[in-house]
Amino acid sequence: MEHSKIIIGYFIYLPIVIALTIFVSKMLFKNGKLFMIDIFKGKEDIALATNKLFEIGFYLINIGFALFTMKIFYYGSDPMSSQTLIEILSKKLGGFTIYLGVMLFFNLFLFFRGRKKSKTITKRVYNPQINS
Amino acid sequence: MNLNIITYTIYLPIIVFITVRIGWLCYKNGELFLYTLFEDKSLVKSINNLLLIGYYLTNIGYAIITISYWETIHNVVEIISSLTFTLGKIILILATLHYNNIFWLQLTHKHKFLKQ
Repeated sequence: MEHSKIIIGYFIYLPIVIALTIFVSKMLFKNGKLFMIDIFKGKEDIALATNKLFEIGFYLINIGFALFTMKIFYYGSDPMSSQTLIEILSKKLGGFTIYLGVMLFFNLFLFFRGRKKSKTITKRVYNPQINS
Repeated sequence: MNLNIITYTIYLPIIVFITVRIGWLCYKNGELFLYTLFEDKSLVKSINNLLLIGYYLTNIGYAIITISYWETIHNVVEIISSLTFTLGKIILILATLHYNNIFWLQLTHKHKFLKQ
């Protein structure tokens, strides 16, 4: 049973990562709904649909990345100690958490940018001084 | 039981407590500054929530990742010295982030009031 520690590591890693992704994307897109409605100027149906599409994309990227980086590499000759397991897991989980935080800030940046863009477009279209 | 594992079990609750506490304080007191920047009240609440979650994710993630670079510990004195060194490092990082935030907040605040 030299691989039992690695399997334990996978069983700790997977639920934490998936729960974290679901929680973050739920919070992000619950709060992002207001931005979307702002961007689409109150057209609620298209705003909600876009929000849902973004949410699906967020899930796909993050869970895909989490599964992609799951494999634990261990080349030691003796069986893995629990200290090594904790250190490897902390590296993977901490790295994934930081990555998730960066993705959240990136999405927030996209929201702000979209809001700004939609505001400037409104001004250009409806401002008679510039149009004439 | 390994001395390294004992150190980790002392380290994690302390650092999570500090991060959560500071984030909560900044969340409560930073809301007023955001109100001056944006007019829409419900938008401010959601921005503030998202900022808090992003802060938690990046900081607790960094705190967890430092465990994997911990030195090997041989006796009790090394537990204390390595704990204080790592905790101090993270608290200093938090302090610089905090002062940076205050600086930008007061800059944008001033800018907004000069415009009016």
